[in-house]
Amino acid sequence: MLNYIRKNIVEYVDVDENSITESTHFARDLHLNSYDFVSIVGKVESDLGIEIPDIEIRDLQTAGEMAEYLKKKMK
Amino acid sequence: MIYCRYLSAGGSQSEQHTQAHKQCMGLLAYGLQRERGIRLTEQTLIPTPCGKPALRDHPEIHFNLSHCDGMACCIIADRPVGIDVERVRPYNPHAARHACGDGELTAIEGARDPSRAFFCHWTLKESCLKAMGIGLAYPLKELAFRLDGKELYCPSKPEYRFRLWQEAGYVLAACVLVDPQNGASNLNHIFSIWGDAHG
Repeated sequence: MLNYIRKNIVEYVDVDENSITESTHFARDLHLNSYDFVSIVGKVESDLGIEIPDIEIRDLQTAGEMAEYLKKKMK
Repeated sequence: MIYCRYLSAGGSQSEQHTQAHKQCMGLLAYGLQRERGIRLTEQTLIPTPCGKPALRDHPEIHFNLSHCDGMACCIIADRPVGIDVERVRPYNPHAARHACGDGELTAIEGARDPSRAFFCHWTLKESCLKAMGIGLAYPLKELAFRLDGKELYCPSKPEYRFRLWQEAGYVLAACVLVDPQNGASNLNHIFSIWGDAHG
């Protein structure tokens, strides 16, 4: 799941995919703004056929947190 | 009042972000000095529980910052405010489907310039979230706007007023909490622009 998130992130940020770890913070480390982040969320929703409520988005601040969330969501 | 500045291109994404934030802080410093005679220092700003910065010694002054590829802006007021600026470019349909309800999507897709229409909706939503101080924790689809009327209005947030500017490839939206006692009387001093973008 982390690899999947990495591949989505690099569509918006000019970083080496391998440099994105579980602790990589979307805003602090990658400077993703809200529009970029919602674009990633929207793509994930579309790819995985799930809905991510906005109230739950604020807890997804790192790549690891998003990976864990998606794993649970897919169960 | 709103303060805006065009930014020069160049540098890595990270360098551009750093530079843009620096310009936003410069606008805030200029605005505070110009309007209130307050000198902005590193010690002047404090974080708040919601993550939105505030002025340590002046809780009565509200401000918000935004920057995008090519523009930085800042809004200062005597009540909660939010501001968002975006450069108009092809929009991401995934972002649109997540953030916009069916009515807004229909309006965007049917617009003469769908990308511009999307970023008008997006910046209005963002400016409201930033005025509320809660970030991406509110259902974006519930912050729905109609852009075909005379006044910008969000039915789910009647206590807020909005203004939208479209300038040379950018869209800028500002939002202010209206005093329930005085209503929407004279917000022109808040929605005035100083700087590069004049709408």
